[in-house]
Amino acid sequence: MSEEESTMMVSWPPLIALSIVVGASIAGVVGGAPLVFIFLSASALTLTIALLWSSLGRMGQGARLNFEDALELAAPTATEEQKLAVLRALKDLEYELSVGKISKEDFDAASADYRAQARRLIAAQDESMKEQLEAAEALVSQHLSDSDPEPQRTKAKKVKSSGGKSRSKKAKSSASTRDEGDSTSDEETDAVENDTAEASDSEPSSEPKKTKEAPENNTSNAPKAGDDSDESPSSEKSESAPL
Amino acid sequence: MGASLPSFGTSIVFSILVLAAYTFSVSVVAGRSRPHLLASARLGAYATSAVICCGVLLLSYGFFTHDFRIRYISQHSDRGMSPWYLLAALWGGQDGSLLWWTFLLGGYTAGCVAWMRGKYRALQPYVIATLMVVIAFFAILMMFAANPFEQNLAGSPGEGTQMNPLLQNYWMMIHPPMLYMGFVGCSVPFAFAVAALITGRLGNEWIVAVRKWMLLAFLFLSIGNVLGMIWAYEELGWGGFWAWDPVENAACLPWFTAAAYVHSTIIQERRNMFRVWNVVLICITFLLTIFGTFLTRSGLIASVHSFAKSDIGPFFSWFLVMAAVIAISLIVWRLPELRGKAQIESVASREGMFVINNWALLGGMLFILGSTTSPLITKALMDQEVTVGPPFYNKWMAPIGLLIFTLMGLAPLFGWRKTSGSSLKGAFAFPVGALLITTLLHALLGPKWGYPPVVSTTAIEAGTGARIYASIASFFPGITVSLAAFNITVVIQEFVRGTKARMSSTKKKGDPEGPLLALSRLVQKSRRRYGGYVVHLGIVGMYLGFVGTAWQVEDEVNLFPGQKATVADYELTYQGPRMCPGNPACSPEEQAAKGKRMLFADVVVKQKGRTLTTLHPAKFIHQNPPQTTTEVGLLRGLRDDLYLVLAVADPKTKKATFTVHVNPFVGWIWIGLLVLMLGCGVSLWPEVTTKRATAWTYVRAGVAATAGVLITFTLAASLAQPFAGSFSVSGRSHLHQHLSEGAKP
Repeated sequence: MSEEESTMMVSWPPLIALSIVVGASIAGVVGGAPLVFIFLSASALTLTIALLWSSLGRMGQGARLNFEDALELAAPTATEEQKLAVLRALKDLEYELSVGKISKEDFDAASADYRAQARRLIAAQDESMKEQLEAAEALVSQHLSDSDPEPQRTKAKKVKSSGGKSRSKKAKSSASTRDEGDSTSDEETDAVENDTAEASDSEPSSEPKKTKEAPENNTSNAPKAGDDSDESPSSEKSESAPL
Repeated sequence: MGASLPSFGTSIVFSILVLAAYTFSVSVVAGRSRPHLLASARLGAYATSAVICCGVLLLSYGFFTHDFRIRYISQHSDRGMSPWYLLAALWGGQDGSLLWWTFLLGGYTAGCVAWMRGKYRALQPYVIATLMVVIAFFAILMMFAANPFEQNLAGSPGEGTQMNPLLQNYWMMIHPPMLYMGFVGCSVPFAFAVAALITGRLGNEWIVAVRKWMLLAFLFLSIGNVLGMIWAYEELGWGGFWAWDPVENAACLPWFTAAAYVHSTIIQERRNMFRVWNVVLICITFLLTIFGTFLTRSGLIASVHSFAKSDIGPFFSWFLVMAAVIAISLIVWRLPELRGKAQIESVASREGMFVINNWALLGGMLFILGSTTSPLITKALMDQEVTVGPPFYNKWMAPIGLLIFTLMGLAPLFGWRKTSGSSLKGAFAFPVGALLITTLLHALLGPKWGYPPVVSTTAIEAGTGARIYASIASFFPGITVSLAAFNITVVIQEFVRGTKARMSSTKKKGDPEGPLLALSRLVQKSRRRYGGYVVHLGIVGMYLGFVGTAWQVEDEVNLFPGQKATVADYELTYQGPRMCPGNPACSPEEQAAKGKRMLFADVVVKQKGRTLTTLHPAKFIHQNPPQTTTEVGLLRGLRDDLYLVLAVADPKTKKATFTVHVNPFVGWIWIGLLVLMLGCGVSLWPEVTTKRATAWTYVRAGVAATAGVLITFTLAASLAQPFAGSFSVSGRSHLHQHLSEGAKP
């Protein structure tokens, strides 16, 4: 089985599932429950072999990690975690004031305390990232000076100004850069390719689909109050990606 | 295929181990040094799940073709069993239930791997590796101790042995899978905890990942336990639903820690506290699921579930020790990083209440654990076995339960960090008012209606202390009812205050919302919080069902045909016995019954002169295996259940002895479960995200929605079915006959 075939097979689970359901239905009509079970069993075994083949096939490929996945591997710092907890606590505090669980005096006192903590943590975070930001800015500047066109520089500056806060913006930016004929890094190319792969809704081959899955990635890196969106700090969405 | 099914099935069991080992290895390498191998590990995990699925389907095929060469099939089925019970026989015995357990774990693994797509890149390899270790353990167990495909050494018998008649019950078809779903579901949070500890990513990332999985496990544990209660209530015929049997206790232990975790995780998310505690709770929950299985299978402690007794206990004990050692080592290794700096500022705060609630839940768990294992402990320490019975459990679990019930109502009234006196006054006003009014009404009207708030209890031990405790315990029914009113008011108040706050906020923004719209959007925006409150309402329903036992009426009556007896306000007229098949009065379904003789005693039930129904309590005499079972005559109601058991019937004189129970509010336990399921559903409902839709997206959404609706309807209908009317043996016969007389699945 070629790589394309294996990719195609594992990329279309709904089609496979549908085929199995149709096959099982026909088996049920023809031979009753025993034939259904034996058909489903054979399908499961075939699927096992195909998946194992595909798994083994991928082992030898030695594919490189793309930029997005490499970012994902970085753990959120303790400061980042504390900051998010404080921001979330602030949001909770507002909710509790609105439903009358705390008095205005308590709210003011606690809110001032949390805000001071948040300011301190954000400052500490900025300080800890200062060196990396400067290095990143230097690299981007160097990269831009190598590839001259003015409109692209404007776009790239936008990325730079975000301070690496939004991966999706970065990926989009790199996509537009490539569209305009600029040279891009391997990582950026990967991100763009993954964007394209996402459109086909494929599964294992397209794991890193960061641009479209940005909200999910935020969840993974930063403890957003996922289903409690009322309770999540508004700033989380833009501050989740650790660098 | 037919000629080699046992050996082919055995090779599939071996394949499970091989694939799990392969996936484990690839995952570990992916986690340690080659992250690009994660795709291979993910595919390996899918392959492992698929091969387990293949095994289960093969065994099902064996059951449906009556392949008695396979020992497990010949021991748990015969040719006369209906397709539904053939399917249930998959988990009706030891070996099959282990394969079924592995199958569910495979399903969870596949679901978890699919869910992690594009997320938790660093944690994924170790999550997969941990799940593979658990799967490998079960594969080893099947290979060396409980192979469901093992061949009959003496050759294929002409006919098999039916599944235990006690297990041939509608609820038994769904109770074990649900309980297993809960047990197995605890593996996923454990896998995440191990992954977080190994990688050192101990922040909130994994906590956020785990919370819905734990809630899912909690939901299934709740369903499984309550379905077990329904089964015991209907099938065992002793008039109750919970006997504090060791296996029942083992099943409810992880429920306590899962409930504690569901609350304490909120503190970590909100206040960045209790990291160690949360990891410990997850590990304990997982270990308790293994311990529960060990207790069920080892036969170390006598239990009504003795049908599950076997010699695989040592395997579980070794796995338990190994998992505990690994978990403790990892926690100790990461302890410095796990310790948080934040502290609880005041007990009068939400987190303070959660902590007390956690300790109460843990205390309940420890009490049950200690009492259940008391024969083992006392045997080891004093060389004599001391077993405690239901009165002991009831005596001590009542105050613990009431403490948990009180805290459940108190916690939502407090704010985070600390709550001022003035805020507390406002928050407590309505709930306390409701509590006082209910107490007053209960004191005035309760005795008149037969539900007095004070029910005298007798001390189970000698001594002044025991007598004082017994007199305090006599107030527990009244306290429970008052606390139920308190809890309900708290939940209503939370919804009202939230809705008002939202209406006021949207009005200020110039986009006012009506009460219903505000309420729906409030729940939509904070599903976990408000879903949790709905779960609390479900728990209130269950507590009402539990407290009903305080007002239970029990009587034994001896009647000749035509004689009447009155129990509570029910008038019972005994019509006479009939043996089916053979008696002309038997229905066609009863005449067609095979493999058993059924002795019915028909009783007409009247209330205030109005005929309600005819109940048919019975004794079933099964031939294969030879066993007599008691079939209860049940008339369900929201106020109480009439529960009629045929103790003895003399075929010559036709005199019958009945044990009659009138069980108040039992139905509220089942209703409470439905409400709990609704609340968990609200909390678990996935977030709506904007995504480009493809044709397959619509197909998937359609299939998922249909499946979801069907499953919900099936579960809800099956649970609500008892309330469809009279649920006597004849009332149940439609369902029973459908199941047992060859209806195809």
